[in-house]
Amino acid sequence: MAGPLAAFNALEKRQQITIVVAVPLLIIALLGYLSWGLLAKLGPDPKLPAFLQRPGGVWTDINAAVEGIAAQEAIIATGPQVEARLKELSDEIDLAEQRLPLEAEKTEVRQLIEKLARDISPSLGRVEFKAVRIIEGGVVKGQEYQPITYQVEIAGDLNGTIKYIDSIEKNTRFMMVKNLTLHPGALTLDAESARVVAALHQVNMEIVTYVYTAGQKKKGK
Amino acid sequence: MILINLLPPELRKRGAEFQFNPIMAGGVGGLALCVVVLFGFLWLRGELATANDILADKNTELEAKTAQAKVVTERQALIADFEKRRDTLFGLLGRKMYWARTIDEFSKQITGEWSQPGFKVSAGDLTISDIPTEKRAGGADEVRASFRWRYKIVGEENQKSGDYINSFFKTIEKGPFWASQGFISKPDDRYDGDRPRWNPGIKRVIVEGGVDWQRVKLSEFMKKGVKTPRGN
Repeated sequence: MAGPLAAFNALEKRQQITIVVAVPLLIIALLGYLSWGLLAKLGPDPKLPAFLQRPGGVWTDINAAVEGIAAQEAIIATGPQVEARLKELSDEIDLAEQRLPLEAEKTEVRQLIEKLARDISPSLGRVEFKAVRIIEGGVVKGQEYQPITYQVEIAGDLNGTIKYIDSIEKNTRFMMVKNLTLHPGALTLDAESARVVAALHQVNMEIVTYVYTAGQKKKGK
Repeated sequence: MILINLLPPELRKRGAEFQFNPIMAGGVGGLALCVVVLFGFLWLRGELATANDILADKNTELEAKTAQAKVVTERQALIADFEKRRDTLFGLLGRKMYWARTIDEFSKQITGEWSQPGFKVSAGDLTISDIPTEKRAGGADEVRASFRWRYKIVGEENQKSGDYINSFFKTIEKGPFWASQGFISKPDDRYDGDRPRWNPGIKRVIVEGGVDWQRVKLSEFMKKGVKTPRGN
């Protein structure tokens, strides 16, 4: 047991003082060096006083992550608004698209155009449906809604023709009269009644509607 | 019994007595300082381990939040697509120009009273056609259509054919047909003269001509804040 202590006691007092001072200083220096390295790895830890906080390190990454989380949370917080806006837009689009026919409903629209002519009450005017021809606009790249044109030929008096156009324009299916040509009917003299009789006007018109072609349209008929 | 210590004082057994030794004190002080610094070092190591755990947790949380935010961002990107689609759709629907009432008003106009008495007007061929307009961003905001028709003015007095023509255009311009149906400019803007001819058989002067009017409609759906109409 007397080994190191006896050796220490055997030293001169000056040597003893040197050891007593130098050894702790060396240990402290070593620990200080290692701690300085740890401080660099730790970075700006909020538990440390400001003068010990070093740039970089784990806490810089933590702070960056916290900022990143805050930024992402801000985006997430807009979620309900985004969904509400999407729903609003979707509803508006659905509402409008319900007025457009599906591509498979072209013949139904053609039938509707003919039916509207036949539904004109004789008390309101005369309309004779003659022909209809479907002209597809052709798929234009980048256009979601492709036009379909129905070339319609009718004969009618003025009131009947106006009523027919009105019923097309006010139908829940979107149809618009794009071009129209009206040739007035000839005036002839009815020998029996001695009255001037007007023949029916010849009316050609182009009725245009659109179908959505960009994707699968989901809607009921 | 009284015990008497007969030993001289320097040989007598002494009790514990503290004697200050500077070297020992320095040694104890140095040791204490080392312990403090060691404690600080160990605390820092513990803090580093804790910080690494916190970082791992935060990174995990960040990944989860980023994934959630990505969903929102993707949905947000859809808004632009939906708005574009809605604008396109409304732009198309907004191009619709209504003709039934226009033709009705027109027929009332030409069979009605004229500011100058003594003539009647009959309509010939009527042609309505779409005029292509340049689309602005998001769709067309203006729709134009041509309204061409042939007219025949039948008047009682040959010398008044100019008055009839003047009355014809002025009455139309001031009438409800022109004012309410979105026609632009004036009815006689494209009038390029005529050649009245006297028909002795019916004793009437006849003036024939044609007009090409333009009707304009602003596509109001393109304006911000205006929603699609529920009906037509």
